[in-house]
Amino acid sequence: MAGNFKILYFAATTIYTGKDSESLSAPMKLGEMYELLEQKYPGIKGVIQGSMCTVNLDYVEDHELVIEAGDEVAIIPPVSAG
Amino acid sequence: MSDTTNHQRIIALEAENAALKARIASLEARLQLNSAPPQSLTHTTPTATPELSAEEYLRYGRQLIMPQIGLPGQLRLKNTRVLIIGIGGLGCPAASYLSSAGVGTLGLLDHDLVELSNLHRQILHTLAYIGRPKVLSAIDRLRAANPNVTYIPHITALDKENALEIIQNYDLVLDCTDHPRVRYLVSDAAVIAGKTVVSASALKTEGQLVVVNKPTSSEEGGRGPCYRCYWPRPPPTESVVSCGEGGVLGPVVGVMGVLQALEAVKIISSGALEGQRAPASANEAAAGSPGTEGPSKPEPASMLFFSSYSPTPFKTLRMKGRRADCISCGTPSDPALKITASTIPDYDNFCGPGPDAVLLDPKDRRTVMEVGEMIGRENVVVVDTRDETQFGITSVGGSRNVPFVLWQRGGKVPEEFWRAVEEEGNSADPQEEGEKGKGTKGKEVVILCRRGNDSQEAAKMVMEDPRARDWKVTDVVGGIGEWARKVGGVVEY
Repeated sequence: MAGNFKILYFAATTIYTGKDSESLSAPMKLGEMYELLEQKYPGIKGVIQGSMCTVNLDYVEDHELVIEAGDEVAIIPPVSAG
Repeated sequence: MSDTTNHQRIIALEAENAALKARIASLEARLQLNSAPPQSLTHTTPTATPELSAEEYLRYGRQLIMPQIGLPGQLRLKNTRVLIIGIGGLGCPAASYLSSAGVGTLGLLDHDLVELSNLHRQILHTLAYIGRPKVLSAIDRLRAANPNVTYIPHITALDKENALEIIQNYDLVLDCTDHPRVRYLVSDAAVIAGKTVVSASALKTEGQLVVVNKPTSSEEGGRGPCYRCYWPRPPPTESVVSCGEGGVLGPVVGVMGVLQALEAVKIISSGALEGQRAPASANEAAAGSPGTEGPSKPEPASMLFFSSYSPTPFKTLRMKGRRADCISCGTPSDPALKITASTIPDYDNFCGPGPDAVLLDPKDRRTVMEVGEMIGRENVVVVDTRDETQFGITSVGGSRNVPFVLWQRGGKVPEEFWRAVEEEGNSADPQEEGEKGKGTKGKEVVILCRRGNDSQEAAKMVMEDPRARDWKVTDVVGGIGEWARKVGGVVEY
């Protein structure tokens, strides 16, 4: 079903995106989303590779996973400070 | 005397007698409280104690009456040894609550000394301890509130040589450290030693908390993911930001440290750690019997994510279990990759160079004194790569601000830089000006940042760009910090 999904950016990802969220067009495979982000924000790939990704609060890894309209994706790099 | 008078006198004396007996009982109770010796002074090796002292029943009363704790839970706390690695923004509140809750033995590990800039968030440390070890500062404060705990100082950095040896003397570890290098080491060592780690972190306005290697069920060996299961690849070096560089709000890191202590109390009091060590006495084994409330079935692994400026600040992210092929806690397809006691990796190689790397040739670096004298000359432009907030705190007069984030985004020298240098060049004497926008030969562009790290990266990028081929490009050793100390006119922060 077409529509949009929301992607949330945290920590180091915001250095590249300059914002903490945006809407992208669904459906989209997880792997395609990563490629799109690298095109839009060159250099973000390094941070994404070190990050965890969740869809609707569930940890996901499968690049073939399809993100649907209304889903909420989060890219969460590790925070190490303390 | 008449019978009535005698009778009245007897009643009065009986009343007085009763009041005096009550007063004696109350005074005796207070005397017992004040004279009971704190147990930590009478022995140095922690031993399992089958019961609590009268003082401890009163001290822990408010948590003892909770069904989640009860007497069995409190005894478990008393018989558990917890190691807190890092006595900073996370470690101070964590240590405070664990000590107050009656953990029997608390190890505190940190090589660092207390500094003034710690005090906004490292709440155990005080002015009296500036320049002295954080571990001693913390123990002093903690002992003043609860001397029943055995405090063990470890004034050392954690490294691959000592990690296993130290960790195996404890039942539970709290990772309150500040660099991915140490976090991977703690996780790897804990997996090898069979210990659970409550790991948290905080930066700016966000915090994260995971439990590493958590016992997941009553079956032998059932364990949750390790740090590498969550983050198999380390973050790129340039994205690793410390509290000193990125900033942090005290309450943000404070919340995460308190949550670490809470998670530790939950794990310990529920009896989840009991599978990993033999009870020291029959009484302690008896205390492991049911009676404490807790989750009736094992909770799946999760990460607590705190985003303090979000309308929904707390999120729980659901994790999968261990990765089957994890090189630390799983079975990698190439057995040579598996991390064991004898093959603990080199974390500097894994995570990249430390924060104060030197990228530029010494001939391309200026001292603050040199630049202090050069400033104001027509052919010199000083560009400051700190962010707007920091530039707004203090800056060198005449310098131009081109925040480093603009350099990172896009991976090349930003237009804002060329514009700033052009504008500075144009403000010079037009007779001396060469081609408009290109500046004269002999122009020097000096790049400045807070400590002299980002400035090297930025300078390197400019040097490699053909648009700067006629210029001398340098950076400033020690940045604004050094400028404040040696030249003046700016403030160190």
